[in-house]
Amino acid sequence: MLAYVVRRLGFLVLVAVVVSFITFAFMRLAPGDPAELIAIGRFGEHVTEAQVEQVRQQEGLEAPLPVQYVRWGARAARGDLGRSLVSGEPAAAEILGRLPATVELAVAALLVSLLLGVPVGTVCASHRGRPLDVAARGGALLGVSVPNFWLALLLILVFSLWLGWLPSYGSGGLARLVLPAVTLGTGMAALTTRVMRSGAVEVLSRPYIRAARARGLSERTILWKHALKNSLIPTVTVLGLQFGRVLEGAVIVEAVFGRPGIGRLLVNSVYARDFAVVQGCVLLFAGVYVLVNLLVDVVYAWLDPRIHYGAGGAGA
Amino acid sequence: MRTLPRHAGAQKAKLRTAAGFTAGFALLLAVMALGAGCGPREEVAETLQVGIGTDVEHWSPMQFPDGDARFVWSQVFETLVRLTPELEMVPGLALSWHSPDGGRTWEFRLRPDVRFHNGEPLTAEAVAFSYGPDTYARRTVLGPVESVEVVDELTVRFHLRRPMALPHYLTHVGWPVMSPDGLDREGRPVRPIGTGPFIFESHSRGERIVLRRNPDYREGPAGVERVVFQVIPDAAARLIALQAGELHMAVKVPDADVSRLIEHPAVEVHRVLSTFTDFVQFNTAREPFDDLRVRRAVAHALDTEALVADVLAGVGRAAEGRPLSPVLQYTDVDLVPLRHNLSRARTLLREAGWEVSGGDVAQRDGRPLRVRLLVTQNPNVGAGDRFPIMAEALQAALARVGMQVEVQRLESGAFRRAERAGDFDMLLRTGYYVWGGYPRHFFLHHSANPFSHFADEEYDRLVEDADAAPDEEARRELYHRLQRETMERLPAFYLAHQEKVVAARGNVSGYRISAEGPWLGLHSVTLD
Repeated sequence: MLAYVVRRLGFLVLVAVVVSFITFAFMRLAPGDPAELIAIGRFGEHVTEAQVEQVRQQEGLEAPLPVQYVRWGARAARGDLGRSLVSGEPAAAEILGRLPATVELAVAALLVSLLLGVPVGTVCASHRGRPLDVAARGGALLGVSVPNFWLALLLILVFSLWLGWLPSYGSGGLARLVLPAVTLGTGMAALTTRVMRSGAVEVLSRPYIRAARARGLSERTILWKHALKNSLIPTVTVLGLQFGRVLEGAVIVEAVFGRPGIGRLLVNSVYARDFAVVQGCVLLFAGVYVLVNLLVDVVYAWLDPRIHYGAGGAGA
Repeated sequence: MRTLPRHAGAQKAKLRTAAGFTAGFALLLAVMALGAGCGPREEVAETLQVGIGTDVEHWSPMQFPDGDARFVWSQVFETLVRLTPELEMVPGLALSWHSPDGGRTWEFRLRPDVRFHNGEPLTAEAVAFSYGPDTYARRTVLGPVESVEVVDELTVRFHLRRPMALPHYLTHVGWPVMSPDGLDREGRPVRPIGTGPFIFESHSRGERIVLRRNPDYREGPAGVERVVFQVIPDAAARLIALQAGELHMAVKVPDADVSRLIEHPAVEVHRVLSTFTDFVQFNTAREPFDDLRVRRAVAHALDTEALVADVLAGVGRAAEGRPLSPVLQYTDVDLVPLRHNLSRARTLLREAGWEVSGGDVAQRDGRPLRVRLLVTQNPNVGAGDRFPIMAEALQAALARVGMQVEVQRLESGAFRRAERAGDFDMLLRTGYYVWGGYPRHFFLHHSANPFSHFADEEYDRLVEDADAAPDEEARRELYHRLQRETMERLPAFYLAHQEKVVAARGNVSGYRISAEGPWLGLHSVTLD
């Protein structure tokens, strides 16, 4: 197991290198001269050629792309992500400063997704084909289809404007977390429900469930005690993938709810061509993605003792 | 034997469990809502909550405060020369100013007894620091300034390379007077220190900026104890927060929401024509817009009144080609507008050799009349959200005279590259070198300007002469001529004068909207 985790962490480094190189290349290959754009940020619209050249030298933008990348990589490995072009602050500090708000949102959204998806999916499975199941599946389809920005505004409209129960923007405190988390969580819950349902349907048809029924166990015990844990495996996999959805959704949800998170920082930085910050954000996203998926695989082993991550990779 | 009843029981049990989960979830939501206290309506009555769209990225005189940062800067910092809401120049930190030599040297006499927020007095030294050679202003618009001389404690003298109406230039809130103590030895901003009605208290990046009242403000302390600028990028969310009473004021109300907000009983909509005008700029260096007749055809093909009424939801005023907003100085109210006239447009195109024969697109020598209109995509920049829909309206209108318009929405870097390469036919823009009442805008079409796509020596000379005019009378005459010439030669066609819209709750009193775009006068605002 340990060897497996170490191997996967080694893989993380590889992912970081590949992802950061792609971002690095795209940010610089996008139309417009980076040196000029930085110079405009620094000196205003009327930049002279001399100022652009000065920036090019200062920022090391005159070197070939691979050289620039290696230089950046060497600094990044020491934890120096460079300075934000917009604020002049270290990029790492900018990103870490926004991290708590996004983590808070992500965890709350996952929680909402699980709290809604697992029970609804399980119940759907045991009511397979019946009206309750059809209704819940319809609801789930609606859930995936509704775009975040629309749902966000709708929730604000109802719960902030009409009912006046919850604040419509900002961060800090549970009240300000509810609407963003529900916005992001319901879309994810839809997927959780569907995956949970098909997992449970599959498990409920297994012989050991039939055996449990034959032994006279109550349907309730069978469903929640024997079937649930095994049905969770696909849901856990999807949960890992859903984490990516959280980060993607955070971009919109943070803008609508005025939350100061990573998603918004990333969007603003892309618009401002704030290379250092974009690079840092993408690196963080990639790292989180890999780590979450690693965590998912470890949780598998706990959920299903038949899965072993030996040095030989058997069963993995 | 017991299967049937058991099954029914299990059904109920499952339903019960599901209901339990759902109820639990609802309970959790309720607890979350209650747990955080009273939520939205907990703020102190003496705190004014203002919703803005973009954050303050820096507090440095070395950079320009972009977007809504200026609304915040204008509370903390002040300028030597101020503008009234009607854009008249009045003394700000300077009591008086004059130029002994027709605009080549300018001397400003500072107001005595003004103190910065850290208690230090305002001196000529601080002014010289604020307009030092490395500052954003000196590197850009104040380029002609050669040096800033400290004459005595309260007198500062600007030496210029060429005559210039300097006081106009010093009204911009983007280059205010700052205390040198606001920066550390390396020139990095540590803490914004100004002389304005509010003192900087705290800044939570991407979230809010908190200011508190300056008890020693020279015009008396402000009407509210605190101002909190809440950064809410989404305009719709900003307006809901205002309607829900979580905000007292919201800036930059989208055009489409104005009429609805006016109906709202608890919200008051403040609107005024601003200094900005939206326009299409032509690439006169290449076909087809190198031909004045084709540019004129565009002018007559576009119905700017319909544009304002239908596309901009009645917000703004049709420009009909007039380059200056009516609120600017030297605006000629007797200009003859370029009226919507489709048959005139078609005739002009025909005269230029573009014939519509069969098909919908006009042709000349077998080539179709196809043009490319560029629009920026950045929603954070000025009219970014309004432009795409305007571009579509232009596209439809020009199709009616046989001009096929391809609209391209580009990110700012790509936009700049296309512009620099001259790879476009029209650009949709707003403002440009516009602040205060002074019509500096005409420099945009000066051939030396990097954003100009027009080269006309006579026009260039006129622009220079107007800016360096020795007296008011001559300046007025020259700017009137420039307006006529601009409509005659059409480096650009002007579509709509923008309106500035600020929405406030009914309990906000004492607010007077200023025509100056980035200005938000909160000093006199009180909460009932």
